[in-house]
Amino acid sequence: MTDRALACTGVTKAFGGRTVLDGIDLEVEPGTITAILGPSGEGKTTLLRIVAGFETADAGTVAIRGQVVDGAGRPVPPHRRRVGVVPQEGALFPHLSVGANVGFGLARAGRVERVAECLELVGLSGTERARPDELSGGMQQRVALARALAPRPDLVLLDEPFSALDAGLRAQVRAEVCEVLRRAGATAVLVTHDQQEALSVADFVGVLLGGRVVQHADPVRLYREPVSLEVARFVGEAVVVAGRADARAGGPGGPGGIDTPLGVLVPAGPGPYVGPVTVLVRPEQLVLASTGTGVPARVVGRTFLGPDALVDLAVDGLANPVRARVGSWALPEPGATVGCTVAGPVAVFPG
Amino acid sequence: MVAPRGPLRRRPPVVLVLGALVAVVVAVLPLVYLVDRAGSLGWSAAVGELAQRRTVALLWRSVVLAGTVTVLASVIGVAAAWLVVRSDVPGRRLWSVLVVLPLAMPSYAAAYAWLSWRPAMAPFPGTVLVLTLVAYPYVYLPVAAALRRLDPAQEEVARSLGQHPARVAVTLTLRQVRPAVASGALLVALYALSDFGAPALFRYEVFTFVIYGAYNAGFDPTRAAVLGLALVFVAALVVVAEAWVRGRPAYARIGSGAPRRQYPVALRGGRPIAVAFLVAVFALGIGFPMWRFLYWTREALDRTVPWGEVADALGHTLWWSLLAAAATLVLAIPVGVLVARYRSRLTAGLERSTYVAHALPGIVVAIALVYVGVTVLRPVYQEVPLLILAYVVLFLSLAIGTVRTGVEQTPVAQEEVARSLGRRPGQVLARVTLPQAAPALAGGAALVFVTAMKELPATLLLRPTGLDTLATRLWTFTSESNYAAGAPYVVALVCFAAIPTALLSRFVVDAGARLEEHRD
Repeated sequence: MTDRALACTGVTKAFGGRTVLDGIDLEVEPGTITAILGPSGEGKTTLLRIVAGFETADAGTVAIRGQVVDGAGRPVPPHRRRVGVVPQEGALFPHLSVGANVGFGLARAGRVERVAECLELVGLSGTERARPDELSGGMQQRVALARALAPRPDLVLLDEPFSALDAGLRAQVRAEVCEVLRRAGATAVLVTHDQQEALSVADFVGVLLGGRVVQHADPVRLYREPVSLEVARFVGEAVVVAGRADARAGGPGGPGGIDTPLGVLVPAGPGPYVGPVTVLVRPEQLVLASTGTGVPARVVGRTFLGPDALVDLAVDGLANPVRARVGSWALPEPGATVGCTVAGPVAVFPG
Repeated sequence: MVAPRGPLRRRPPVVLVLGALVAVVVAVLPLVYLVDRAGSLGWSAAVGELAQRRTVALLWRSVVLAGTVTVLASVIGVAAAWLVVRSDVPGRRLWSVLVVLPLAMPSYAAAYAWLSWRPAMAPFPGTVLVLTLVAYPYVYLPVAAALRRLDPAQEEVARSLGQHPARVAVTLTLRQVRPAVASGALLVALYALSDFGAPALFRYEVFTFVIYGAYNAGFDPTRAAVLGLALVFVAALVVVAEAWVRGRPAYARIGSGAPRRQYPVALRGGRPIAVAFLVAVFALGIGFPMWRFLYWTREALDRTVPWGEVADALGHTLWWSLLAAAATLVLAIPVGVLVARYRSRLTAGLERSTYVAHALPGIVVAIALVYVGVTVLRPVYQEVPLLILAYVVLFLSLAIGTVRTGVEQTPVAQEEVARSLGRRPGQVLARVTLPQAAPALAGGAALVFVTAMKELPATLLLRPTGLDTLATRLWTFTSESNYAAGAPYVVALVCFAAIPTALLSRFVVDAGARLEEHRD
């Protein structure tokens, strides 16, 4: 318990009668990057602000390295929490040089050396004298990170740190920032509403829906085995079809198979599943080939995306078309009939 | 601009609260004296004094004067601000300095210039003309600053939706700067209510003039106190009205769009009219009075001008005004920071209570401080510290507004980052918030400096015996209609007041834009 970098237990917060956080439980191991993923306005930022000490929780406790900072007696003020913060647009101090920004939280002794070290860490050596407004958006964000890391905090909080950057720069700065966090051995909590961002950079992802952390898992597991359809839809595109599980040996799909209009599918979870179920298929699991393989499907629409494409397919037995993600080199013509199979295991939900 | 998000930091630092309390105590000091004095008469007698037909008529005349001046000054101030900031009127940079210069002109000096030209000028139009022309910069400054901060994309969207530019200016731009117009109009209204010099010279009987008479001629401090209280009541109504007009501050930038360069609106055929308007305002506000003073100064040069006396008076004026600016700023900072960062009913009340003193005529504040000097602060009575205290009481509200604006321009996120880097709230204030508010703080100090240089009634009563400022010397000569002898003092006063006034437009109007550029 005491070696958890961050432990939130039952954290609750309401603003003017509206409950934003409704009993948040979250644990973060030292040296890992955890993404808090949730739709806009779901209280992700509020949670970060409570951890940083800018707000206080109405109920529940927050502990940093085993020390309760909120929830027992007077909350520890932000300046005694040893928590670094990187806000949305960096919030560099415009009246101070880059060096003074990074050194802001440091004692005088050894400040110059530590500032140089941190700037080197973020790949901005020698920019001490520059003014923040002379830097590009991505560089400003790296300075903000260096500033947060300089006092060697127990925890670094990043609040949608890449949302102000344009798309091209974003992926690059994201990768750089996470590389820096790992090299510094820092424990970081990153708030984002971008599924791709959360899945690509974090060691663990906590999905915040309806004021609660509904699933906390590593990205692969979260994507493949979401705990609910709601989570499944939130972390990626979902094709949802009804099916029937048959536990009997010698059934249509063999033991454990799920019978669906898309064919007999293999469940990802251990099961056992019996009776009517709902199956989650990811669009990239739908593989198209010439007729004769899999179930027949008619192309009713398509969206060209460059490297890949989305193809909408009408399948017998399904009221709505299903969507497949295919390489854009193998794009079928609208109206054509193709054969469709499902590759890999699928997540299965009862009912 | 990032909208100040409301983190509920319930306990503001003790130092700030103490500082603000001192400021408020200082601001309401004269009020305590007035109530005490009026109460000594007995309440029924005080009410009787107020209900006199003559008093009611007087009150009505003050209200009409203040109302007329406020409306005219608001129209001129808003029009000038829009032309200088948002239109393509020729010479915008030059105009941005010229249009605030009337602030350097004392009302009594302008009145004196007009009377030296047409001694029979009618009292009401004369007073309205002079007060409007010296007070409109109080509207111009906040409105110009607010116009600078507006997101140009909104105007562009309105244009693309098929709106005529003139309609955009009225329906979108002006509506968004409404809070700025309201705060400027508040200052003008309070100024017009409490001005003493201009109505006195035009012999237009308003409250301040009669209070001065009651105190000076009849030496009836109790009647002066009762009348002063009535004036405070009117001022309180004005302050409430301002809060109502200002409405809820729902004008913050929404979304994180980066602020961009504003493109001026083309006036096309309207340019000559716009130029004529600015020239007329400048000519009437500064040009004409200065021409009269220079004319009289030349007359005076034929005799001997006592340059040594002018230099002495100038020295006192500058030194005391500097002390006033510094002291006022020190007390305005806690109140401004509290109001900007720890907004609550209580802090809003603190801010508004300091406006009360601004509405008090200088003469009433002076009388109150004479009383305080004689009873409590005997050692500094008729010494410089008491005079400075009077200036602080009178001008605190001017500085608080600019401090507040400056502090609000620093995004709260920066302060939070500083806290998370291990700095205590006081250190954050000193190292993050105040340095960035520096241009606004300097603007506030400049405003107090200029206003103190021009101050007449309180200086007349509280200055150290035998020492003069430019304003008090001038007063001696105006009472004798000795225009030639007084002119060199006005020229010195206006010239020296013009320097900080010119800086003012840079500090107050450009500060917002300058801070935003950092965030591009």
